[in-house]
This record gives sequence, structure tokens and C-alpha cells, in this order.
Amino acid sequence: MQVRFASRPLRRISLALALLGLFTAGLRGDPVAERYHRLAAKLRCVCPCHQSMLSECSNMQCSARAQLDAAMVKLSQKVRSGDSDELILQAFVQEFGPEVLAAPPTHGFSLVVWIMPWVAAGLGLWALLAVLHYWRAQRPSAEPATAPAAPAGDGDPALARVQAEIARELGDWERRE
Amino acid sequence: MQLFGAYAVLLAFVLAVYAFVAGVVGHLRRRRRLIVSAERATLAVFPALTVAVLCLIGLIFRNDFTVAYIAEHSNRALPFYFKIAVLWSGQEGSLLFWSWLLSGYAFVVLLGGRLRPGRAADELSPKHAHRALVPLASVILAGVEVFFLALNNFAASAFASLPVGTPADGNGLNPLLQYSQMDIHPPLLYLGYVGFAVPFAFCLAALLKRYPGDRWIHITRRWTMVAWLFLTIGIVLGGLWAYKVLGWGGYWAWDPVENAAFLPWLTGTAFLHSVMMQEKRGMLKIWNVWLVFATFLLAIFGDFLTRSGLVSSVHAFAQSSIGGWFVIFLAIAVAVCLAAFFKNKDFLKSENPLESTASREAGFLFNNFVLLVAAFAILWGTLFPVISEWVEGQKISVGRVFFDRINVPIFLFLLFLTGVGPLLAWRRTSAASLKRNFLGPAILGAAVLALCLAMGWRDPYPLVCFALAAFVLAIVAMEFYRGARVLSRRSRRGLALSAVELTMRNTRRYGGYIIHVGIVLLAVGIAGSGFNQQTEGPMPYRAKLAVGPYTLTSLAYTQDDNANFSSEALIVRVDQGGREIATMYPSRRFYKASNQTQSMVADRSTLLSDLYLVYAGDDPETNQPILHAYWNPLIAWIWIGALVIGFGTIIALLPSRTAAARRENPPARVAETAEVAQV
Ligand code: HEM
Repeated sequence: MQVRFASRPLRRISLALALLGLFTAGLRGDPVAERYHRLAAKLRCVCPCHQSMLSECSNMQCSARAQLDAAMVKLSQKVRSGDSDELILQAFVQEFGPEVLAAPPTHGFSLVVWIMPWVAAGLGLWALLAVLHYWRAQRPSAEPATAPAAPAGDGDPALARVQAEIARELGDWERRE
Repeated sequence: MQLFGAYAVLLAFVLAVYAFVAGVVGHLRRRRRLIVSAERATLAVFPALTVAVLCLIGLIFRNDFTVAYIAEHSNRALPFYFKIAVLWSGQEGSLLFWSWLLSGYAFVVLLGGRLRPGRAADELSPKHAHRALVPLASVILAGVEVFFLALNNFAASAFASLPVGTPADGNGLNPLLQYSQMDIHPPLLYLGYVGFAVPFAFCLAALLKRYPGDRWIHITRRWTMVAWLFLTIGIVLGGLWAYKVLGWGGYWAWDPVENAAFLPWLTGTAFLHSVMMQEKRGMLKIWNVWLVFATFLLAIFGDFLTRSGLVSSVHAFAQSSIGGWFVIFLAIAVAVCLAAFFKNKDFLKSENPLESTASREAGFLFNNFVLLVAAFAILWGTLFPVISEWVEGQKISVGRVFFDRINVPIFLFLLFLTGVGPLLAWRRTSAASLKRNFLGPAILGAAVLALCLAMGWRDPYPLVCFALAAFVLAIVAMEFYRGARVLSRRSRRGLALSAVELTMRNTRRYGGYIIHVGIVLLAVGIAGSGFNQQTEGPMPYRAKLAVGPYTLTSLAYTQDDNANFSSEALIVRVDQGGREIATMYPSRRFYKASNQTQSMVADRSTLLSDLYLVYAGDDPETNQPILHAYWNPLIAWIWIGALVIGFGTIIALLPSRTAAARRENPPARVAETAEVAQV
């Protein structure tokens, strides 16, 4: 979506003022600047590179650079107008579509994207534990509880001796080779 | 030359089709001569494509703009060292390059492992037993070649002419690609992607042939390591390119195409661990087969993502409408894998049950579990915009915030396991042993955590990462130290020499540990981003800007001009603690042929931090230059970690000093040797 300003000079002037204001404010740790940065971290640069936050886009290839600049002006104005963060973000969504949000919302259909990895992790863990359980149940009962150490060293007798010695030093007869 | 190149690609296609068809018929009917002839045809694809690639390079250097691809991607003023990158900078060229690499792999596989004519597979020594698989594996590789060569000939020909006329000059190479990293990042990445076709071919061949024993898994592991090495270095170089070129101060944006390369890396890493379960314990055979299949399919899927434009990406250098071809190929590949698996799955029965959850086997299972959860989360997040568009009619972007939030805890857990895993014994580990081995490293980890907290750092993820890094490094160091000390006592050599000796005696194990050290260094570099600082501001003459420990002062502004681009640079003095330490030149270039502007990042890198400056352009109203400045702690450790991983992988690929003896007399599996010991 293209942001249109009444006139090009107006856009330029407001942009220059906003940038200057924000940069100098940023140096002083101004709460407005802090809020600006906080909000900018929640927004994406609406440009084809699709990889930078609003605050980070310095990609001159960006065809949407003009949109980004306009968005910055808008952001600074909104920041100063005292709207809540939520409202400002909503205004951005209306202007640029949901793609402008750096993270998918945690409500509605987008919630699925957040939940699924953990659902998959839960299912995977459950499957893993089930497999472990199944295998342990299959363990032949005749086998001694502690298996004797097997010769180590992958066929290299010298290495096997070294590893056996390490194990002996540690009082550890278990096989890690 | 254009026609010659086009015919060479056509010839390669015909050869590949013949190799595939003759190979399939030869194997079905057991016609030895047909199989040998198919192998020769597969071998011949490589020289044919080499000729084609050389023709294209020749045309690029001759500035032959009748060729549409060259008119689109090159220009006269392009320096010669970037002209070579034209080969892979667009759809058609990169597909040809891909086919050439694939044919190169098939060539090496065949040359290295072809059965001598008249020699039967069962006459092979154990060392060469896997050669029995080479004929069928080469047919499978020829099948993959058929697909890519069909694209080269019928969907995206690099030799096609412009429909009308010949322009005086070309459009030029995308400025984003005019960097030295672009001369090596894509070839390495492609070598990785394409390389996974080889383990896939061996694995599928073993399954189809119901190849007895585990020899096939050794060769599959070795080729996976090779492809994995290339992919690892290719991915990291991609990060380096993004860092040095894109100018946003970061190296990894979870861009769909970055994710696409990461997915086969994750499944490949999982396979490299679970393969040990099969080698030592005869377990997880089905799982391993599917990991190899998944890795190959994900590599093709990654190529599809890059080229199809399904998801929007910064890597949109090579997009077109060939997505449909990939979908068909992927569908066929999945169908073949499924059919081969269901027909032969009884051949993949596990030989041993698991005995204890505190065992190396269980450690590997958890390793695989974590890697696959990460792979799923990344795949899911990458595809979600497409899914949301289908379901809701609007694209929801899933960017860095999502991927970081989901993946950081997963990878921290993986880091923890990287420390724990190597200390677990095969079959079972006692609580006493765990305590003995873990106590020291755990105390060190806790000390590092306490130190970080004492320094006032509060961001939990970097802190946990530093603590785990200390934990894992201590474990690896202990492993080397113990072994080296025993060896040094025996041989009366120094500890360092003994550590080398130890490594060379079991390259795989200690190479693996070196790789783990690389992973730790990489993790430390990534954790450093938790402390990043950035600022931006107008920089007229003498203006100052502070970032991290530095004060930047604008000194001057210069301009330059050459045939390829005009440029303007800011001259920035860097002071630290009141002392001048450097002068930096962030600049912007205007590329004449492509009419594109590009920021040239100035980066001052030390082991502790990077100072990264981007000249973002001039304020439209005041004409004052705007500077973005980033202070990125520890970032250099990412590149160092990658070098260590590369080194460790090469070590792990070397045969161990006693390999010859071992190959003739392969080590028995743990369970078997245990029985022998009992007797
Ligand atoms: C991203 C993380 C990791 C990477 C990239 C990685 C990579 C590797 C590689 C490439 C090898 C050499 C394999 C070979 O030569 O065949 C290796 C060895 C090894 N890895 Fe990892 N690894 C990772 C995490 C883990 C984890 C979580 C565990 C815990 C179970 C683990 C346990 C081991 C062990 C025990 C070896 C040595 C095996 C031997 O004794 O021969 N690794 N690793």
C-alpha cells in the first residue's frame, strides 16, 4: 500500500523534522525516542528485502524506502500524539496490512503459528518416550543388568588401551567408545 | 559458441535420459552390459556440461549480449572477477551450474567406485564392498540429472537469444551480488545442496537392492559429511555476505531462503548422529533412511523456494515460473521413496533394543528430536504466510521475532545436549559416572553465569548461552586432556603432540568434538547480539555520534567515478577513550548499468566487537548525510566458529591412523563385542 502525502515538500519537511527530532532525542535517552524504538522493533520495513525491522532498514535497494520514510514520520507523529502502542500498531496494520507487524499476532488464526512448534515438540517427545519405553520393554531379560565393558578403540588396540586406562583412572568401566 | 553450448546441454540431457532408462532396464533385467553402458553415459554427462559451462563463461567474458541471460545479468564494465559470478546470478545460469555440479558428483562417485568390467560385486573386499551399490546409485543420480537437464533445455535455457536485437550493453550484475563473498558463497551452498543427492542415491540404492550389512551406511555417512561441510560453509558465508552487504547490521534474518538452506542442514546433522546408532548398535535403520530422504527432499525444496517465488525473499535473484516443475519432481521423488520403503521395510529391522535412558543411544535420540523440532518450527514458520493466505486470504508475515523466540530455547537445549552427549556411554551410564564427569564442567558453567550476573548483565538468553558454552568447552577439553595425558605418559611426548596423536587415531570422534567446539564458538558469537547497540543520525562536517565505546566524528565527504559505478563516501574518525583508533569510509555506489544504488558497509572487526557503519544516504531536505552505526559484540566468533567446524569436519573425514587395519577387520558392534568380552 502506498502512503501518499498531500505534497512532496510537506513530506520532505516532516520527514526531516521527524528524523532530526528522533535522532537527537535518541542521544539524550528521551522517553519519546525510547517509545519510538520500542515500536519500531515491533514493525517491519515494508520493502522487498523483507528482512529488516523498521528501525534497521538501510537497504538502498529497497523500492519501498520512500514508504519506510513516510512510515517513520507517521510513527514519530503518532508517538507524540499519545495514542497507546496498540492503537499505533493497529494504524500501521490498516495502512500497510498485517505484514507490517514484526511478529504474528497472538490471537485469531495467527495463534496457530505460535502454538504448532510446541505441539509438534510435545508430540515428538511423547513419541520419543513411547519408543524408549517400547525398546526397554523389549530388552532380553537374560542379559546382565550391567553389560561388561566392550573393547574400545574402534579396532585400534593402542587407542583401546588408552581409553581403558582413562576409564580405570576414573574408576569408570563404562564404554564411551 | 552460443549454439555449441546449447547443443552441449542438449547432448547432456540425451545422455542422462539414456543413462537412466538403460540403467533401470539393465538392473531390472540384470543385463550387465546395459548397466555398464548406462554408467558410461552418466560419466559422459559431466564433460558435456563442462563444455556448456565453459561456453557460457566464454560468452560472458566476450560480452555477447545476443544471449538473453548475459544481457540481463552482465555488462561490459563489470570487473572480470565478478563476471564469473554471472554464471550463478540468475535463474538459467544457476540451474546450469547446479546440473554441472550434480554431474560432477556423479562423475566422482562413478570414477571412485565403479566395478571393473567383468568383476562381480561379491568378489569385492570389505573395503570396496559399497562399490556394489555404485551402479544403481549412478542410475538414481542420472534420474535426478534428467530433471535438472530438462529444466536447462526446456524451461530455463541459459543460451536462449534475446527475441529482438542486440543491446550495446547489458543490464549489469545485481549490485547486491558484486561482492567477493558472492564468488564463493553460491558455489559452496550449491555443492552442499547438490551433494545431498549422493547419500540419497546410495541410501535408495541400498534399500532397493536390500543390500546386506551396513557398508552402505558408511559410504552414505561419508558423502553426507562432504555435502554437510559445503552446506555449513555456504550458509555461514551467506551470513557473512548478508552482514557485509545488506547493511542492516545483522547476518541472519530468517529469510525464507536462508531457512531453506538451514532445513537440510538440520536433518543432515541429525543423520550424522543417528547414523552412529546404526553403525554401532544396528538401531534406527528406518529412521536413518528417512533422514537421508528428508535431507535430499528438503534440499530440492530449498531450491524450489529460492526459484519459485512462493515466499518473498531477499534472495529473489533467480525467480521465475518454474515452480511447477519442482512440484512434479518432488512429488515423484516422494512417491519413489515411499514405494521403495514400503516394499523393503522388513529389511530395516532394528537389531538391538535400547537398554537405558542414560545412554549414548538415548542422547542421540534426544539430539535428533531437538534438531527435528527446530526443523519443523522453521519449516512451519517459513510456510505459514502461504498457509495464512490460503486460509484467511491475507499474508501474515513471520519474521525474525517469531523464529528467534521459538528457536533460541530449542538451540540452547541442543547446546546443553552437545555437552552431555559425548559423556554418555553406549548402552548405559551410571549416576556415579555422570556425576563424576559433569561436576567440574557444571561448576565452571555456574561460575560463568555468576560472573555474567555480577557484571550486571541481565538478558537471560546470552547468559545461559555463555554458561552452556563454558560447560561444553570444559567437557571437550577434559576429553582431549584425559586421552592426551595417558598417551603422553606412554610415549613420553608432550601433551599437545599426544592430543594430535589421539585425534589422528580416532579422527571421527575427535573431529566431531572439534566440530562441537566450532558450534560453541558460533553460539557465543550469536549470543553477543544480545548486547548489540545501534544509533543513527545526520553527520555534517564535525558532527559526532556515539555508539558502544566509540565516538564517531564526520571528517569529510568524497566522491569517485569509474566505468561501473560512481560513489560517494563519508570519512569518519573513530575515537575510543579519547584516543583516535581508526578512520572508516562508509559509502554508497550508484551502478550505472543497472541504475541501482547500493550502500557499502564499513566494518571494523576485532575479536571483541565490530563497529559497523552504513552511509544511508542524504537527508532530502538538508542534504546532510545520514549515518547508521552499529556496535556488534563478539560477532567475529561466528566466522571463527565456522572455520573450526570446517577444520573439524575435514579431520572427521580423514581415515584414522589405524583405518587400514580396521577396514579389513571392521570393528564389531557394541553388543557383539560385549558378548565376546563375556565369553
Ligand atoms: C548443532 C549441534 C551439533 C552439530 C553441528 C554436531 C555435529 C557433529 C558432527 C559433524 C560429528 C562428526 C560425525 C561423524 O564424523 O560422523 C559429531 C560427532 C559427535 N556428536 Fe555432534 N553435533 C551437534 C550436537 C550434538 C549433540 C546435541 C550431541 C548429543 C547427543 C552430539 C553428540 C556427538 C557425539 C557423541 C559425537 C562423536 C561420536 C564418536 O564418538 O564418534 N552432538 N557431531
